[in-house]
Amino acid sequence: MHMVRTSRFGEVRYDPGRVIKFERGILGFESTNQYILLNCKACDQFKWLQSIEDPTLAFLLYNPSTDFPDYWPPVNSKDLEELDLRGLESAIVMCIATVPGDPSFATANFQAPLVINVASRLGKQVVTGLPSYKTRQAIFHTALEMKTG
Amino acid sequence: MLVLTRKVEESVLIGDNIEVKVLQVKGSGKHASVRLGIVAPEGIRVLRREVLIETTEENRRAARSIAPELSDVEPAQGAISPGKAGPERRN
Repeated sequence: MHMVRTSRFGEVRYDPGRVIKFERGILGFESTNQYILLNCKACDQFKWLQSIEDPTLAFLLYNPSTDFPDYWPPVNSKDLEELDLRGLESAIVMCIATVPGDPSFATANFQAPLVINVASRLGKQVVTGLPSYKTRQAIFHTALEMKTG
Repeated sequence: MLVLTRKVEESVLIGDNIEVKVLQVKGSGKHASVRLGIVAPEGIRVLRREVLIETTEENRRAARSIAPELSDVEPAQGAISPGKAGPERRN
């Protein structure tokens, strides 16, 4: 087991075989490529994506599948190739959440979800370009409301 | 940067299979706008540049998120279940 001393969660131990590589990074953080997933104990719709290269960098990820069952971002053949995927059935799709001081204004980026190949542990932020998917989709009324009061 | 002048209905070709055609020009000066038609293979994503900038900025905002009520964590154990965390497969 390896260990990273994170700014948010303290010491986190992880199996190096479970590291997820974002070869192109995440937009704005292109030079940070290796992350681990952490489960939120309070709510299984959320996970944290913690960088192991930058202990201060973590993204809260929101799983839209329960609250937004119609959300289905388009992923093209080039994305699938980069992720070593044949289809989305062996991938997880999660959206980066932004939680400001007041969690009632929490949003998630539906415009550019993260797609992660579960088996090969490759990830990519896919910018869909579809105007109907918002960069700041409100999620307060669905998931955070109950959890944060 | 390569600079070309095209008239309405004229195109440029990029590589073997990308075509960008000028469909319409409206207005003039700073308020001019050009309507383009783009033909590209399925694996080539065509984006308005602002969309990338918006997501880059949103990612930077997101990285500053503090959600103490969601910060009690444990390493994701076992296989990540796509059935649980991913959308249901369609078609």
